[in-house]
Amino acid sequence: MRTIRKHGELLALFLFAFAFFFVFKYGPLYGVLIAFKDFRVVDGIWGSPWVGFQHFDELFQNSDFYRLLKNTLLLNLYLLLFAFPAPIVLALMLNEVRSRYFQRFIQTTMYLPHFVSWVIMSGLVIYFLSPTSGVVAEIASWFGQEPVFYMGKKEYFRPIVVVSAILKDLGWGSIIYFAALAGINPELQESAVIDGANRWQRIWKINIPSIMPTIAIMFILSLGGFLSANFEQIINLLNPVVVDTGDVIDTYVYRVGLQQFQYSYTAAIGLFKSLVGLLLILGANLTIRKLSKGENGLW
Amino acid sequence: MLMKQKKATAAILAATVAAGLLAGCSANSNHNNTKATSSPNTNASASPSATEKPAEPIEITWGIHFQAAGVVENTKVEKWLEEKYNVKIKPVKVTDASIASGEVPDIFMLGDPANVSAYQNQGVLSSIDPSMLKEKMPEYSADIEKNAKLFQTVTFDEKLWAIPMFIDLKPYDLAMLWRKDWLDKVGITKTPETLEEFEKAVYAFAKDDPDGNNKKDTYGLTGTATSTWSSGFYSLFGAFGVEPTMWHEKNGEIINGSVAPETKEALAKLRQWFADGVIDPEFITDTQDSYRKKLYNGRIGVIEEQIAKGALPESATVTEMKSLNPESELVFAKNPVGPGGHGSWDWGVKSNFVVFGNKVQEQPEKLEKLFEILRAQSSDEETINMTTLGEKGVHWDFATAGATSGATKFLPGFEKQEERDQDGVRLFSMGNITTQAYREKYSNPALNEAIKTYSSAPNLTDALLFSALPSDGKYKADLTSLMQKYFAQIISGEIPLEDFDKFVAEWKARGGDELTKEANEMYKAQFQK
Repeated sequence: MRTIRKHGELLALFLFAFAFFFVFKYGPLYGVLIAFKDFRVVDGIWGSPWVGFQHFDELFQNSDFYRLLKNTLLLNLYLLLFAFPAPIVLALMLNEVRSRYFQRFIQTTMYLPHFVSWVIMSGLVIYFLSPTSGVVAEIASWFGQEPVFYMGKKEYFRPIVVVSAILKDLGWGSIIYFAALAGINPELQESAVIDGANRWQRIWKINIPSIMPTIAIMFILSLGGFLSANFEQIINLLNPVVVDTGDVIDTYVYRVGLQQFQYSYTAAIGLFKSLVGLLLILGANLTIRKLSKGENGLW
Repeated sequence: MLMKQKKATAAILAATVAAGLLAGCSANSNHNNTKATSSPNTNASASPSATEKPAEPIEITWGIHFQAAGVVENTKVEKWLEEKYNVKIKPVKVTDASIASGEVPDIFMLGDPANVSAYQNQGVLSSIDPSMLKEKMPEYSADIEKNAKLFQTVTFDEKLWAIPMFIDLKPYDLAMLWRKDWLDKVGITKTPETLEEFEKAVYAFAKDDPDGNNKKDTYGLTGTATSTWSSGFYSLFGAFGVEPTMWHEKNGEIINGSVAPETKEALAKLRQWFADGVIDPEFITDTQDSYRKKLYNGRIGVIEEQIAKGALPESATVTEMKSLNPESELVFAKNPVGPGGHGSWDWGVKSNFVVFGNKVQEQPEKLEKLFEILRAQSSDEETINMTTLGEKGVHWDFATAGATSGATKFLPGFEKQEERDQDGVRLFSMGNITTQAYREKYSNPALNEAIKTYSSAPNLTDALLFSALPSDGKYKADLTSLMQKYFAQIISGEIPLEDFDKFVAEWKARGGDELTKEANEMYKAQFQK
């Protein structure tokens, strides 16, 4: 009772967050049941018959499943390798820029693509990469290069996804690192300068270690969605020639499940993805805690 | 300079394509405003259908036309219907998601037998008694008699689940739209009619610099490999007598167009054209929208176009082309005749389907009321006009001033569909439920004539009238995507033509055999003459 009175305002604030998660995250968990049922609208969630693990069996026996899993894993691996560090590098570099105006200008222009929907963004990507009227082919021709039809070659699909993902969300993703960099005690920098540390050494010894906890947390969080590739991006870039490399679990779910009322089957796929995500988060958190001797990590 | 302009317009076009796509998406947004309408309608005696006692108005939840973006409440048309039929209408937008959450409207429309089948499986529809349908809607029943097979497409478990609608003159049938000035330029005086003539023309477009800029920047044609239901190049597959993904009847057997031997011949031809630089390599990413833009941009010389959009001088694509390239000239023509005759993708006589929500079957008065309104939508000119065109003199008028029949046009302020939606025009329309007599009175004779002239229908349509097979849900989407992958790769030369046989084997193994068996069973049971 005393704690309630003492921390009343804080608890009131917490209530909002709690209500949000309860209503939108925990409440709907009840619906996960349909992964183990044969859901029919008219019978409702509880009334539909139980079928046990039938939908999971169907998923694992689908010959496409392993191709989809492989595509999803590879694509996310590339995104993690290239798209994850990109905003960190941008933030570190921009942090060294002296001119405030230039810094702000770059930041603002880099945020902009984040607010463009993937429908438009992928239309632009397809257009830029057109072998006959695209900018890329035009530039390549200055160097005597033959135009390449990037969207029509399956080996280019993953790079295109990675590069366009970086282009779109680079600026947005770097905000949190900017904030972390701004939080570094200036005295650290000053004393380093006095000690004769050059710019490179300061980045390496002060800036990166200082934002390491942020990086670690962002890394763990991004692993949670590891099997959920950016659906909007991929569905808009996908074409028949690149399905071998570009078809991922989410696009399959959309094509086979949602368009055909197969809610139980798709719920099973979703549950499987969440399970993998959970394992990855637990694993990553454990590893990071071990590496940082218990200082970093989510918990 | 010319090149530069071209790029600039191209960039603008790209942006509009993108914007168009976006608009297409936002059309799906779900405005499920479930606030009950406060109907001002207490004046039931004004209704011609009113019985002796001024009965309480029946409340109807009405799934608005599926192409309308969202619900607009208390519109003019809604009030008019409420007044006239003594009902209280609650308009709702139907989506798979709204259905899945159990909100099933009393009446709505679906596009395909496959949708009807899916909804019926979910138990959200009422079955319909065919004899009652006949009794309650005599005009409609008389008209649909000759297309009675449509009833088979929505009959499952020996019960009827939807009221099919039919259309015989289809303004959306495809035929060819050529650059006449290009044909002249390359010295072809006769608009191509056969596949050989077609081939000669598209080769000339690609090789002989029809735009006269001394640059090799033109192609004969492009395709739409990203279509959701088939492979694009409909008229060329049609010239070989097949359409991929369609079910065809050959000597009493039902086979799928994707794996027919003729399809391999068509692919061989397309592959050759691609290798010779006649087909735009971007056909892989092109859509129906973007190939029109390529025609406007002077990049290709022929497209497959809907008759209503290309056949008449005032058709949309023709006027657009004229405004962008005043010196250009277009000519509309039939689909090319090849070894398999001529044809294009043909949706057949089916139109949309009217369905009743599952709760209607327990409410006989409501069913009665729905039939009353449907009958009026079918044969009562006043009701049809109100729901589909709006108020005469406000929303629409006949194209020729003072006429009492023929083509109609929408008046300024209501020329865009979205503007009409604000007054409720179309929201409650059932489209092709109208009688033949009405259609004849209110159609454009020139367009009807064009459809009769150019359409290849009924040459190539689905032998099962696009019925849903029992295992379609399990396999169809996957098989279509498999077909598109192989065909795009074969045409673009990525894999050899012989891989078609590999595709056939894979198609069969991955559910195609099962579907073929089901298709044959269904055909024998329901459609065989």
